[in-house]
Amino acid sequence: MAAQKFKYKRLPGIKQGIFRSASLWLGDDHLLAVNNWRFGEDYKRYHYRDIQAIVITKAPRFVVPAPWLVPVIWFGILALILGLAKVGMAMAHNGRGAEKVSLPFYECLAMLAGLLLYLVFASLMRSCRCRIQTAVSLDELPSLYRIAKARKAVKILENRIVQAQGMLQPGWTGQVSIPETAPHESKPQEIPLRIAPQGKADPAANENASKRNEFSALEIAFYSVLALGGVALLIPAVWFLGIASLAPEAVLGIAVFVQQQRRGGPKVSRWIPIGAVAFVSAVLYCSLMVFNVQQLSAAKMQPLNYHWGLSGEPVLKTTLAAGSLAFAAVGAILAWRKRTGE
Amino acid sequence: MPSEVLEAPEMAMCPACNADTMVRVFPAILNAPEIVSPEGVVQGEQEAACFFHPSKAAAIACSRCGRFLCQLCQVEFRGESWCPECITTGARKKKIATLENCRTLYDTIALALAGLPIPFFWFATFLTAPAALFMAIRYWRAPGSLVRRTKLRLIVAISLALCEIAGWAWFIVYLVIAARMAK
Repeated sequence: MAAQKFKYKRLPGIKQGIFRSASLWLGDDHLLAVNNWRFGEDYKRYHYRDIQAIVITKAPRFVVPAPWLVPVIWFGILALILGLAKVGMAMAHNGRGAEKVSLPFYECLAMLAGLLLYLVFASLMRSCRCRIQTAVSLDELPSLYRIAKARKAVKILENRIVQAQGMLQPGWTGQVSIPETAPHESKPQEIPLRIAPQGKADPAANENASKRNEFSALEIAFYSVLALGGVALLIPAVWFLGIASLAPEAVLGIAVFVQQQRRGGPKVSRWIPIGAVAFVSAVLYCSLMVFNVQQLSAAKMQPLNYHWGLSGEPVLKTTLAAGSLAFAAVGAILAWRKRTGE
Repeated sequence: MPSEVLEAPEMAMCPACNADTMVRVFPAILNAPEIVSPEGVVQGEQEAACFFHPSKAAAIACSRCGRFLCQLCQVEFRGESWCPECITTGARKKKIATLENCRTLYDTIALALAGLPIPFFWFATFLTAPAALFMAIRYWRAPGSLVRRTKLRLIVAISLALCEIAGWAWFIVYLVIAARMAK
């Protein structure tokens, strides 16, 4: 068969879903994009001589690769079983024996949280959209959704294209006429590759630049909750409000991070919320672990609700409060600096 | 996109979307679109005409079937000039691998028929095992994936199906013998 003549070599990067997958393969004279739907495959070919440009744009991509689901499901089921055992023991024997399953339960939770945090981090910070442009199409390459893999693949692909087409001379942008419209695009909402005349400012860019220097309502809410939570933890009568504020703190912190990431705000605005959330989570987790290890070693019998509280741990409460207030203070300084433009 | 972003060796911030962007541009972007010149009209009876457009003068012959073609009908393919009909026929009959844009993976279907029912509906293997065996043998020579070339899935599917059929055969024989022993 004619097909036997062709040999393909796989490029780095594969999007592996449960029912679908996508990959890129290098052929003799073309790039083959394969979209696999388990019982069949769709192909699209891009000849090296026709490829005009490849664009990698850093963008959040919430892609969960199928192999990642195995540990997530494993630890999720384990945590569920241990959690149910813990509640069952607490209800049946007034908390007696519950401390024996507490440690593995929290370990499973930590593994789950770690996996999910890494997925969120990779999705937000290490992800991209990769597009390929020819004279008649502008298509996304779905298999290249992580920056590192995309760079590696583009580097290999670039060599093949240069072999087929040669290289552009430096300063080539001065030689080309500016096209009014881009070629046909598969996704109309995406920005086409166009060459803007030098010195002309884009109105969208100005709008984004002004937003970048604003202190958003979301940021105000986050730092306020952080500060109020920290203060509440120091007051014995309302310390539980400080604990209760941890959940909205986590949600707001991630929301602020995503917002600043989209606006292209300064790095400090992006990382302080994530740092605060990580600090609060670490302290809370440490407190639970320390408490359970103590319980396990002393084999004490405590009611279940005691495990969730921090009432017996003034050091941890103080640490949590101090950290929250410190992060809130940094946020306040940031707001002041943004307003004064320093 | 400004030229600084287009010519940047590493990621640079695009002023339009504020996203870090890396662009690799190749000389094909400078190629002007190819314009097909208007074909000449057939002047006399001696002049060759296009097979598809009898009023237009032939410019070239199809490398595959030899039909005369005008510039409009000529399709450049694999470094040769083909007529649109040869291209369409080649794609339809799947004779030209480079024109195929989809393939059915019979090896995966056979493997799924043989293997998927085992953990969930093992009793269904009574029907799916012969079906998997039939599919694996029937499509043994059918082209598989363009990029994956081994017959491993078909071999595994056949082995699994044979094991399942053997298991069912043993079970039926066992039931018959047990019934006879009971009598």
